[in-house]
Amino acid sequence: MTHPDSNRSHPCTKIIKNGIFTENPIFVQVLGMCPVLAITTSTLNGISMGAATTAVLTFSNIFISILRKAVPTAVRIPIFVVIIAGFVTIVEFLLRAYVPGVYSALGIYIPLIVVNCIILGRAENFASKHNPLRAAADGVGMGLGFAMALIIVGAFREILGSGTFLSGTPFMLTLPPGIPRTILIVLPPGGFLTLGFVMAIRKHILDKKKTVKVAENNEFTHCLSKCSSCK
Amino acid sequence: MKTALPLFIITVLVTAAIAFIHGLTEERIKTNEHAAYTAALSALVIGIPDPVFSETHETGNRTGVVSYTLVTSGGEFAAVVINVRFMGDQGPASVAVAASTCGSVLGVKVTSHEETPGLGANAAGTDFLSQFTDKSGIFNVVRTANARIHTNDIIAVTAATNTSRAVADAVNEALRFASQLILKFYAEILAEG
Amino acid sequence: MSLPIVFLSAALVNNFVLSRFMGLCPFLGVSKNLKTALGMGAAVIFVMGTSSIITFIVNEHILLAYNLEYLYIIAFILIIASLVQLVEAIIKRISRTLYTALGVYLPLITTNCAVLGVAVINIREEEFSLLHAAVNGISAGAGFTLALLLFACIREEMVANAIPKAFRGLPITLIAAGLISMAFLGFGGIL
Repeated sequence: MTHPDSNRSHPCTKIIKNGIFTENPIFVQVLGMCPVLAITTSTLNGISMGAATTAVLTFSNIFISILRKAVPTAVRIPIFVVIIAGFVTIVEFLLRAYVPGVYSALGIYIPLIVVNCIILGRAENFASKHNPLRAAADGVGMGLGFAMALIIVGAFREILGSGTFLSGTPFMLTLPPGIPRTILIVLPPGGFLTLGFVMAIRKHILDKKKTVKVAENNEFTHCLSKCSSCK
Repeated sequence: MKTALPLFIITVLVTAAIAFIHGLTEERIKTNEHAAYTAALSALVIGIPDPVFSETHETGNRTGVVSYTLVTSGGEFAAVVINVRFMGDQGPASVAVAASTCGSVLGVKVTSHEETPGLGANAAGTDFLSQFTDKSGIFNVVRTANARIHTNDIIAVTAATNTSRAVADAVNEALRFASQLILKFYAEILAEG
Repeated sequence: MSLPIVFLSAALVNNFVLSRFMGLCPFLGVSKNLKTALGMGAAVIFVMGTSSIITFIVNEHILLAYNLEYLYIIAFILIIASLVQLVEAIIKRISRTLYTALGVYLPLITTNCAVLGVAVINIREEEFSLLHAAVNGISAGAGFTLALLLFACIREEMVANAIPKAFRGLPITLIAAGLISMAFLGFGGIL
């Protein structure tokens, strides 16, 4: 699935880009789906969860990379899990102390960052094999890739379901009252449906890109086209 | 043993780090929670000038009235805020009800719930809850289509009749408790002469 | 809260997979055929039940008793990880056939967020006793298995269908899961 050896010669920016596009944890690797569906009822939730996960991923990657030579292979997984759980607890306390609104919006899904497959996956496949700088770059890249997916799904669901965008922030926009809101989209089934359609749209664009050269003026198509060219 | 030692050392170090952060943030978390609680209470007793809140009294019940807070204004007993825990449509929920000394509702707020966003959760919104304000007695939930509206009829949120009923029942329970509390309070004053 | 309500809530109304989105990795990964789905389901019910009991006891008698509740995440994940190892060893000792049937799924359960999820829900629910926690754990596992089995049946049928190119693979799987989840919304009224 992942091929860290091919990254060995890459500079850090390439590692970050790799996390966001080529090996995007949600769209390409399909790991850590639980928060992508559970908390994306609003864009702000997507941003907060993305930031919290990126922080945990980056710091756990750095520490695991520093300790990689001291860790015996037999107990490496429990050690990784303990380190990840430590950072998750720290993030939980910081959110509770400084942004209590975000803490109560994300609720039980904060402790569940521990079992997010992406974090353990990156610890095992990347951080335990690379130096701390590269591990940090990988953490940031994968974290941003994950956050991007959360924000895309969150924005779709908030606009279609609640008729707002970025509600809970000073930049909140509201759709005119004439446009209908589909409550189903913010309900649990809406999570599955939205992600399913977002993935189908992405796949359709990639497939098209492979056969016909599409104009690259749209930013979204542009970034996705990069993924296909890397593959 | 050789392999378990690194795991043990790392666990101890991580625990120490968590304990350190916990120590740093504990005070702030407590202040936040207290501030959020008094802010919620102040928003409920909006008609009362300079409200002062007593400590929260726990009733020891697990459901129904779980706790209450007395509110004084200028040294006079002015209101009581009652926390009721009840079963919503989708899971446990709690509501805070502020009642004046004559037993009418000053304000209602759903403090926690697990209702579905966009459906049951609308019964935690101000549009629904403001229907209780300034009324007293026993509330009855009706749907607009099939009832004449009386003073104590609360119009259910569309598609959330069950949640609306559960909230109204909780408010009724709070008012019943408030009236007992207020009676007891005045009885004590009378007894003291 | 009465025990039947805890059961209905965890298994159907707030189904862990279809309404709380916990345990999606095995749900999407192991639901390709009915037989493996059944094996995974049995393993999950067992681990969720036992881990609910152990984490609840540890939380009541160690973490709360010594004011260490801030260590709950690290304590729970270690308990779950060691429990899974223990279960693996015991099953290996007792029955070779059971081990070959379940063995592959056991390590996957540690990172199944439903297991940690139910442990955290148990301690956050103030009315819960040990019995509630145990029932909640087993019902959540049962709900997971139900969703997994239903979904495995649908996926076995789906293989033969003509699906638009862009929807093949994961997108149609997610949309199918969305439709089952919609059906489960109907359980909302029974509590």
